[in-house]
Amino acid sequence: MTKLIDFFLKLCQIREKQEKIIIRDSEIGLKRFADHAFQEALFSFLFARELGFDPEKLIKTILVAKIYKSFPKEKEWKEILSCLPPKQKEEFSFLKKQFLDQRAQTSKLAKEIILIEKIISLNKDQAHYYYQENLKKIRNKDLKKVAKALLIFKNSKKIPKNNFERIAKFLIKTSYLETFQRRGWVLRGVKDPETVAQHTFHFMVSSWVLGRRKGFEDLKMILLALVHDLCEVYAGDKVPYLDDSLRNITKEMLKKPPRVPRNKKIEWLMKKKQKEWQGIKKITEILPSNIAREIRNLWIEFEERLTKEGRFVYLLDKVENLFQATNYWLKDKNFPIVAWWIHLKEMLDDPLLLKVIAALDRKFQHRLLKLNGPDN
Amino acid sequence: MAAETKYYLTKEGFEKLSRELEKLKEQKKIIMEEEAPDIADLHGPDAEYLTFQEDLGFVERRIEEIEAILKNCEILKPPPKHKRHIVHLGATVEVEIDGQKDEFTIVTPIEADPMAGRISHESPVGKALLGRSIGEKVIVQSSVRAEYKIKKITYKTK
Repeated sequence: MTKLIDFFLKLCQIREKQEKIIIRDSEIGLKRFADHAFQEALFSFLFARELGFDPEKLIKTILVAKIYKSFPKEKEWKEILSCLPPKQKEEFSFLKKQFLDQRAQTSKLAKEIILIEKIISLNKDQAHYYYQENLKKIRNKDLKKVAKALLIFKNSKKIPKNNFERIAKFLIKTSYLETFQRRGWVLRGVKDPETVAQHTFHFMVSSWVLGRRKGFEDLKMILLALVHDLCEVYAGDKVPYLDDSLRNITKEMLKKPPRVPRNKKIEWLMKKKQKEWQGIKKITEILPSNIAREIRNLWIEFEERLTKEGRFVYLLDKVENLFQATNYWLKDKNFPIVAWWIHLKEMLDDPLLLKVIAALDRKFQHRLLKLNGPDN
Repeated sequence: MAAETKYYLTKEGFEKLSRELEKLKEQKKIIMEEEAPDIADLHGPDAEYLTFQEDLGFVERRIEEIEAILKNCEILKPPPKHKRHIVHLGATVEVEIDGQKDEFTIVTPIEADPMAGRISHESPVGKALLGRSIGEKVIVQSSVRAEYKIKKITYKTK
């Protein structure tokens, strides 16, 4: 378990690494690896569903490729692998090899998706130049259609006419999550806080790795994580029991877990559900109906914890936040980490997740004990 | 033959699952109708939960699951009066934590919704509170120390 803790903490580091592309001989830093990874995984899922093939291998290849590209040195990559259980270590190695293999079909598709996705982040001129430069590298005729649609819909309010155009428009809309910084971190004054997309990337990987330990299907885990915050494009990010205006919040308030009367909790939850349901409906309405329905079903399964998988991933989302909070606390000793620990002890009842946080507790025990003050 | 799992539910939890079952059955009918309209357009989120699943297989599995729970459940009854100063499953506990007040109802994992104040008896805080009585200070053990002082314990008697 200690090794897995190291793995999750290393994943947090990926957030800080930027992916660069070359346009007209100059290097442009676009977004972080994790932002791209979210959008590429989403792209892979939609594309695979539209064409009726299994998205699992493609999404996994992309997630592993991103981790590998963030830690490309042999020593770093070996360190990452050494944190994983044997079977997953093998799988990560295989997926990395496959990604590097020019002949593998999945690798070709993954590389083309990674290439095309960049169009979303470029400005109009850059996107046109980039498209012309890279078009010849795209062999898949359907991906070419999406690439062209991305270029058209980037700066246009045109109504999509076919499913590839719908997918392109959806990807442009969801790219908002790559710049949308999570409110909880912003409120606590974190410098360069994590975006919703970055969080989703970490969450997909941790759901895959820990879901396997629970005996759940990998793809189901990854997809539950992938769709869980899509509603935030329209609904925004809700901070427990605070209204959307986020006014009258003091630093003191943020040091402790939020405590409000039960009726306020229920009222806040109902408003959140209403807004997020409207959000997920709105963001999916542009998609082909079968894909829209699948996303909504996954989202409800997660949000309402309707299955054992949904329940596990819902709780893992909270643990994921503790890892990110720990990452911020390691950089800034004034970060109010205590609130996360207390909150999780009220939230978690899954034995595996309790083991995960117990291992994290052991790892930082000396530092955490100091937070109790001299009287304790 | 293995013994069937027994589920312990509060009265509210039992009623909530019963309502969800009714809704799911309605939804199953809609999904099975030819040229069924998009369920997402018909339903808004329920006052308590969202049950607008549109996948027939999923709806059927959920119906089966809820039916199994309702068939094998026992509704939690409040303990006898002389034991109501102690936290049992189903109790609503008012606590003071580091100068702040909060209130939790202790339930089994299928009913747990901590954001709504229903915490699982298998969570560290739920576990620590069970069996304790009014006035006691309960410490949840870990490196980060949290002390819950029990101020009041109530049970729904109707």
